[in-house]
Amino acid sequence: MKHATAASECDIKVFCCPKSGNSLEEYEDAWAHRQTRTPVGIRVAVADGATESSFAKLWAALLAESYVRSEVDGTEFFARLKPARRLWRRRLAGRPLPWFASEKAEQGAFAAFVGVQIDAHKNRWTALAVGDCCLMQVDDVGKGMRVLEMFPLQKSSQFTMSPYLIGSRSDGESLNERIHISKGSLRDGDMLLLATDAVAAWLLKRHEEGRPLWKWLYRKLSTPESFAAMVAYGRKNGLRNDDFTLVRVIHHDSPVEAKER
Amino acid sequence: MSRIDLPIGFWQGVETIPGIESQIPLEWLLKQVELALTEEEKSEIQALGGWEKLMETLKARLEEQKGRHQGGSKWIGTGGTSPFGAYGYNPEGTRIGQESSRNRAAVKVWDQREYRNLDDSVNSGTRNIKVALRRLRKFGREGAPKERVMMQKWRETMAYQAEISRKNPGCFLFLVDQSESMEDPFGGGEAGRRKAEELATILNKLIHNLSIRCAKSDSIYDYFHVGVLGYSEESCKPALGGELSGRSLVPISELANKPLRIEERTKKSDDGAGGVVDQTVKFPVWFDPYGKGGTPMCAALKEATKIVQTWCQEHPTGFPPIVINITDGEATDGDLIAEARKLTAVSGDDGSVLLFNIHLSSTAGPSIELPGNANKLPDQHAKQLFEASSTLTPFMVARATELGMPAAENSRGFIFNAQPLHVIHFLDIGTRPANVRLR
Repeated sequence: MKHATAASECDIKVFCCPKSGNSLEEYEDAWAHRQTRTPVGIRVAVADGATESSFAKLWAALLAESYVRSEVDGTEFFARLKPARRLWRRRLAGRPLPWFASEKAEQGAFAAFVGVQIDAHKNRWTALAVGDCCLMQVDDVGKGMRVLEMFPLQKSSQFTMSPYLIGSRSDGESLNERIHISKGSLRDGDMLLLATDAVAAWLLKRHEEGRPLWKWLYRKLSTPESFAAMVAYGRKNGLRNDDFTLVRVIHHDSPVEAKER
Repeated sequence: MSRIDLPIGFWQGVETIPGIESQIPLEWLLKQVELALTEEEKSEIQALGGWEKLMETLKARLEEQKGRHQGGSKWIGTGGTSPFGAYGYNPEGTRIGQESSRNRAAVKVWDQREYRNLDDSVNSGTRNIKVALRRLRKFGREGAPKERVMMQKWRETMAYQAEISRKNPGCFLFLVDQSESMEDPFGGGEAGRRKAEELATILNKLIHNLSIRCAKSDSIYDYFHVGVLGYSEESCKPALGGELSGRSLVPISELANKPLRIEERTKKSDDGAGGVVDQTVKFPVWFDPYGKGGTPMCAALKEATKIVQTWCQEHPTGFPPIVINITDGEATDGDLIAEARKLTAVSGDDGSVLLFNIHLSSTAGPSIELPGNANKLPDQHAKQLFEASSTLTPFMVARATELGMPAAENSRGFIFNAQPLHVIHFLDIGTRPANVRLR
């Protein structure tokens, strides 16, 4: 999808598939992107519903959609999740559940989240995250590609199987200490990647090993075949079997804007 | 204008792209064995005939295979001592595959694929390691003694990596002491509480928590199969009742749906305004306290050995079964350690069966969880159970630490007079939110 804004445009592509062995209905990640008016630009979000929680897909989708439709940012976004939580509870209300499903639903659903707001006028981005969904910024300067940002985790070793996540029944719980915020600027051709934990950990690991995939992701990843190839290759080479979601945003200055820089 | 309107990836076939077959170069295989050994272990191998000699033997056999390829009696068949007995060998020396035609196809497809550029070397993926371990398992049964030692070292390092899924479930087998001594007072709880009562509470909570762990939206996923064997008087038999009577292993979904009864109990909970309120909760019961006769714990371990052998044959690539013995520690029918060794010698591709012991003693005193040695254990029974217990895997140590248990590298699956509820979280089935409080 190409989002044209006042001073720049972004090519956005979403690559996703369920965990190997699971059906499409069991895919529990979510993603969303939408143009924004204040500031003028776009928002992109990725959320990852935790396997060990129930109705997690619904919660992940509510988080991603809430973010791209919201006009608030930073900690305030998370402080205003009551409507999303209410929606989650409403979808479950009155549903006849066996004792174990009912008790599990009482715990709530949990999800990791990363969202980015791109300000088209200022060519800047602001990201926020809770948990282990990640944003990576890579530039397209010269032959090589430099990693400008890895957020909120910087190393593959930082990923665990028990991250602190956003709960659907946690209205009384302050997330403030768990919220990560980062900002950066964009140049023509920069690539932002938003990824759920397994793919983010794999990309960071490849980067640490000196065998980065940035260039391939930038130039080659485009067709269903190339995506399938990457998933198949990854799953035999260190990519943990999990739901897979990767949103690639390539930023382009408008011709006028580019000349001015 | 849209370049694409749908996310890429939701279509049939993404899981089964052919072409990247398992490829295990000899150099990689040998290097991994070498890397997996400590200097001390290498010295042991030296004493058994020498590392270099061992490597040379393996290499020589592979070289010999170049000339034979198919039909060589040392290589193809069941009677040899080779770790590669069931497999062919690519004479070009770059790849080892199951059969030559498949191998050629793999190379061809690899070359054709766009993603060949993703890689600049041969990789050691999980799949490759699994295939290697399967070969080593075969070798372990048929190989020469000194080589077997080396392969055992490898297995210890590379084991317990299998993903637990509905297709490849995990297995918990509980052995519960129902001897007369379990009617004695429990030393680790409130006055007047019997060990048999404590055991029933522990077992019911463990099955309850496993059910909740596997519950997923409206249903429950069969990530685990669970069995309960009770031992008392002169025998050991399946201890689940009601509709599950006589069954030795049951999928968790069936267990969750068929408790003996569901009781309602009251628990204190937060009222959200700083106060506490009584809340009625459902408490399913699968197991009632019982105690009579002697303690045929060895018979229980023997029966468990048979059950896990069958499990491992039916699930060769799965995570090895975990046997959890809950007892007051006094076996009356033989050598507990010897039977425990036989049980934990049973193995699949992913490693050997693990045995954990939960000791419910009448001895009062501080509870002990996952000790690394027997120094602080209060009596001989506890020390013997510790000795019979398996060492935790690295993942289990990390998970136990995360859950606030005092685990270290050499910790064993032994718990003295404490609730072992966290043990069911030692197996990974996916992301677990850190902010969910365990019951």
